[in-house]
Amino acid sequence: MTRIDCLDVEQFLSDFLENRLKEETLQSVRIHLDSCASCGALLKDMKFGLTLCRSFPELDPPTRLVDEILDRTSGHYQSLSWKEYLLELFRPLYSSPKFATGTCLAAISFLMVMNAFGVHLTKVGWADLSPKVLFGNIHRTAYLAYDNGVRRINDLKILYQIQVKIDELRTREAETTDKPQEKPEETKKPKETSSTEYLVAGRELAIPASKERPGHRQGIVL
Amino acid sequence: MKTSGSGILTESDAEIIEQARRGDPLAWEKLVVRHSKRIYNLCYRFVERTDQAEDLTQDVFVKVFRNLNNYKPETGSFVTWLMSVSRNLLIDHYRQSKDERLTVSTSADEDQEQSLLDTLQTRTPSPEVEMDRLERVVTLRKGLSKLSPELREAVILRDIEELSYQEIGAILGIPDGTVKSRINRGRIELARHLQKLRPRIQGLSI
Repeated sequence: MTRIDCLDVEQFLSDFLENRLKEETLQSVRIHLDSCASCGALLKDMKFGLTLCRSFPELDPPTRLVDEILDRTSGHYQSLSWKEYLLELFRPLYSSPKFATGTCLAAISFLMVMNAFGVHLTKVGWADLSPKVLFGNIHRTAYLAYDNGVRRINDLKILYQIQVKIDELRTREAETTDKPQEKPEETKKPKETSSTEYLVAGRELAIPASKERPGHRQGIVL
Repeated sequence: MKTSGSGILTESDAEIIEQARRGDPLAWEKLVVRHSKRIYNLCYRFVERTDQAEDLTQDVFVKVFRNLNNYKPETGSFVTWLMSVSRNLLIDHYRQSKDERLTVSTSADEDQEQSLLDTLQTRTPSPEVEMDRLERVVTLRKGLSKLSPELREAVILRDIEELSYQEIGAILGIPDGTVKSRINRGRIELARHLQKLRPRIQGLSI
């Protein structure tokens, strides 16, 4: 025989009350109920609830009820008119505010999605609803969105480069305005010649600037 | 035709419905007389107000009258169909009056208890028996009102209306397994609420 806990017993309580349990489960439930005070109390209250329900009195309706029903349903039997049928069909919409709100939100979302796909429901025609046109609209909208995105990214790149250049210029300008005190020192430096001076075997040689080659370092002592 | 206990021949619902469909007002009246009490009590058990139960019973029969062509005897008994229509209207009513119920004062409950007491007292003379009965009804009503509509309808249909699991499944449109589980959960929750109401029910015999 398998041991069962309180949660398992709860599942079987209704069947236990109605004698619908198989012998093995019945024994397990009985053993648990004998040893568990809280489940025993719950079963007692369930029995009490059942007794209350079974003894719930049946009220007599007011005598006018039948007459009022017959007044409201007087005349020959007739099926619903199309207006009544539509009202009946959409009754959940106007009888339940929550459902109505949900439906409105769904409709708005649908309109927005259709709008994004290039179908404007205010100007929609039969031709717009053909799959070819719909697919073409979707393709066109997707292409335009992609193109727009690429263009914006390129614009951003250019803007970034311009900003970098402006920052560079500003820093240079700031450096030049900070250095006017260094000018007298610069006057003490030997006057630069128009040609590069090379020291070859302890002798100074003057080479014209036009003959200077890239990669040659100034003042190389051989 | 069926023979009742007293030997009088009684027509079945299907036969009466067929006559009503052909436009016989007497047949329709027979249906209303036969089932209005049951539907009135079902409505009352859900809404707990006699005036609302009366209005809802009328609405149920108006709807049934208009949809009589949609009833197919092979899908189930007329009573099951009638209760299914009632249940749908009751659920609609529950949704509509949800906000209203949240603001209902206790004085309204007391008025209802008094009107219920008046209704019950007109039937039996003993005040002690009636007080005990009223106390039981009020306790059960308070317990049931704490349940969610799904659990409440399952408990009402099984334990008060005493319908079978199959009938409840047909009325609620759910499988038998779900019916069974809802009834069990409903009974357990009801028992827990009754435990809380224990001081009030101590005097009542189990």
